[in-house]
This record gives sequence, structure tokens and C-alpha cells, in this order.
Amino acid sequence: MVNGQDALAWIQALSQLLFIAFLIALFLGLNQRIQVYIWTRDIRSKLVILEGMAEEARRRTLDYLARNNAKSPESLLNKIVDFFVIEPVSIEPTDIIRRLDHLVNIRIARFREEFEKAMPSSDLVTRSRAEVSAEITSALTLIQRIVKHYLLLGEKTKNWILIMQLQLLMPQILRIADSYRRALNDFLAGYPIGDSAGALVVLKLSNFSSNWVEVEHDTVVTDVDFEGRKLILVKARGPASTVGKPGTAVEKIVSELTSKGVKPSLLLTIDAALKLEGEESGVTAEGVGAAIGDIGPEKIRFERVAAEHKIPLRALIIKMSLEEAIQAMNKKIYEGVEKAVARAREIILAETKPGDVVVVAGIGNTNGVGQ
Amino acid sequence: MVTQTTNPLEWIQPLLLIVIMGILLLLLLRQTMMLSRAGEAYSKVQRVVTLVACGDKVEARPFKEGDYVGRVLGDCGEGRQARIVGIYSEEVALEKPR
Repeated sequence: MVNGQDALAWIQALSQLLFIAFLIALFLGLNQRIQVYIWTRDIRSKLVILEGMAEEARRRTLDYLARNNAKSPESLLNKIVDFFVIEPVSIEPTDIIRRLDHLVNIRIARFREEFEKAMPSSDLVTRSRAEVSAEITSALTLIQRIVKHYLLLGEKTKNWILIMQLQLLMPQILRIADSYRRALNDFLAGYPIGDSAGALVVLKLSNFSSNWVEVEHDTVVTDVDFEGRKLILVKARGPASTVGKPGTAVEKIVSELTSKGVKPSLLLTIDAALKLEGEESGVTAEGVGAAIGDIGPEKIRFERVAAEHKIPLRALIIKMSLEEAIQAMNKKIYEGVEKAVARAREIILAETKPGDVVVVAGIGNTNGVGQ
Repeated sequence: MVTQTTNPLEWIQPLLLIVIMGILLLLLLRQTMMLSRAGEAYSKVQRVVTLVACGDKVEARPFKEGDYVGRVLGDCGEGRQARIVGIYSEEVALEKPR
């Protein structure tokens, strides 16, 4: 029979043996292996959530396409999810904007054509929502694929730094993916999103004018009188989910005006802008330049036309987070829109005089904001 | 006669091992719970409100399918037209099931 003293001696001997074994294992990199195992396990669990989000987005998009009698929705969605655009050569920057613009236009045309072919009986709003939901599915699928790629690559090459970086980034990646997941619901429901703030400000500045005309692809314009000034207001055509081509539209409008000998006194761009962490949502700020977050072709048109005709180019922004920008507009942003309307009027009154022509462009997706 | 002396410090080592094992188990449990909660954290409920204006009077009502800002809803008396002037969302706290 083993008495208490013997048991104690055994425990001591075993624990010392374990301690020595552990110490040796530490020198052989056991601690890193355990850490990598924990990180990998954590990434895998979150990857399951990401896969679930991508799958849910796919299911909802297919459901929306089927509800709207789309032809072969599965093959349409597969085509959109795997669609890519190769960036133009940037080591030779000559005419890069023209080349980029050309590629963007081709992409827009391809998407439009695919959805027109698949949903011939649906209206523009339904088709635009189907297009956006397919793009969100594509984004979520891409996020999930990239995370999986780096995880497998890290495991394959035993690159624990890669796995560590991925694990540290996972909460941020999950947050972005969740924003997209929620955005899908909001786009399909037809709610105005945070990014619609610029378009909504312009609609309010127009006092809900009914004289909007299409001036450029998915872009509408109207003019109203304000305190003796002529305001020419530009926004994307709503309530479909589109950003239009505000830069091209403004370029066209200014060219037409100047050809008639009329020079706008002010070019005001209004858009939603990403806030810094810690900043309040819905706060407005003003500055100089083109408030537009596109990849280049539209923004440069504002800058070129303003510089060419020496028109003051002003920017008014409504601050929000990335999540708020792509999800249903919340009350804080809505209040920010009201403040931006008032601020835009103040800028126009302060910087122009009666009889002047002012061009105001409301930038952003116009989902749920008509005219 | 052999006298056995009992050193109270002899128990420290196994005791420490047990404590460390306990902490490790707790950490593992905590991580598992955090992961299971990760999915739940992303399910807040939102209520979407539509603002309908008739002249200077603005009323809020729940969002209906087909609503969009700028939509004219029809006459609302005295020759005026009811129009949607705003749509925004509010977060609603979920009630815990009893």
C-alpha cells in the first residue's frame, strides 16, 4: 500500500521530470508551437463565421434573384463573384486616368448587360439592388478566401509571423465582413445608407424639385433659385442603388455653361467621409477640394474643370464610420444631413452673390433616395 | 527510531501545479465562450423610421416596403401633398427571453 510520503515523493519526482521536459521543449520551440496552435484555432473558428456570412449572402442574393424571376441565377452570381478588374499599368502614369476610366466603364457596362439579360422584366431599381447584393456576396466571398489563403499558407510554410498577423487582424476583418453582411439586408430593403448623405443633402437643397433630368449615365440634374442665386444640383439617379457619374456630369454642365458665357461662381461637393476613431458621427466639416471617394476618374474631373475655369472648388463632408457608411442611415447621420443642408446654404450665401450660378454635387450611393 | 519530519513547503509544488492547471482550464473555457459569443454579438435589432411631411407637419411612422426619400404619397388635405422627407434607422435593445 502506498502511504502519503511515497505519494508525495512520486508527485515531486514527476513534477520535476515534467519541469525538465518542459524546459527542454521550450528550447525546441514548444511555446511557439502552442501559441501557433492557439492562434490557428482562433482563426479557424472565425473563418467558420466568415464562411457562414459569405454563404448567407449568397443564399439571400440567389433568393432575391429567384424572387425577381432572374434567368439562371446561380450561373449569374458565380460570374459576378469571380469577376475581376486588372488595374492599369501605373509605372507609366501617362493617361492612366483615361485607361482606368475606360476599364471602370467596361465593368459597369458588363454588369449592367448581365443583369439586363438575366432580369429583362425587372425595373432599374430591382436590377440595381440585385447588382449590389451580388457585389456584396463577391466581397464577402473574397474576404473569406483571402483569410483561408493566408491561414493555409502560414501553416504550410510554418510561418508563425504570418499566422500571428492574421490572428491579430481577425477582429477587424470580422467587423468589416459583418458590415457587409448587414449592408446586404439594408440595400435589399431599400433603406438610404450612410453614403447616401450627399445625395440626400442635394435633394433637400432642391426642396424636392420635380424637374430632374438625366444628364449623364445614372446621374440627374435640376436647377432651383436660392436667395437670387441659381443652384444647379447634381446627384445619382435614385432610388436605385447607384453612384452615377457626378464628375462627368459636372464637367459637361460647366462646359455647357461656359460655352454660353456663364461661369459658375462656386463648385460645391458634398459627400459622406470616414471619421477617425473617437470622432462623433454626423458631424459636418468643410474644406477645399473635391469631396468624392472614387478611385480617380470622377474626382479628377472635378479638379480639372475647377482648375481650368478657375472656379472655387469647395467640399462639405458628413463624418461617419465605414459601418455607418454602408448600412442603413442612422439618426445621427440623418441629423448630420440636416446640418449639412444648413451649412451648404451658409457657404453659398457667404461666397456668392445674387445672380451667380452655383453647381452643387451630392456624391454617394443614392439607394433609397429618389428625386 | 526514525522520526519523520513534515515540511509544510513540500506541498507547495503540487499545489502550484494544480493552480496553474486550473488557470489554464479557465482560460481555455473563457476563449471557447468568447468564440461562441462572437456570432451573437452581430445581431442587434434595428427599427427603421420613415418621416412623412405634409406642409410643415412631419410625422414618423415605421418604414414600409417601397418607401424612399422624395416619394410623393398623395394628397394630405388643403391641396398639399404628403411626401417622404427622411428615412433613418434606430437601434432597439433586444428583450431577454424570460
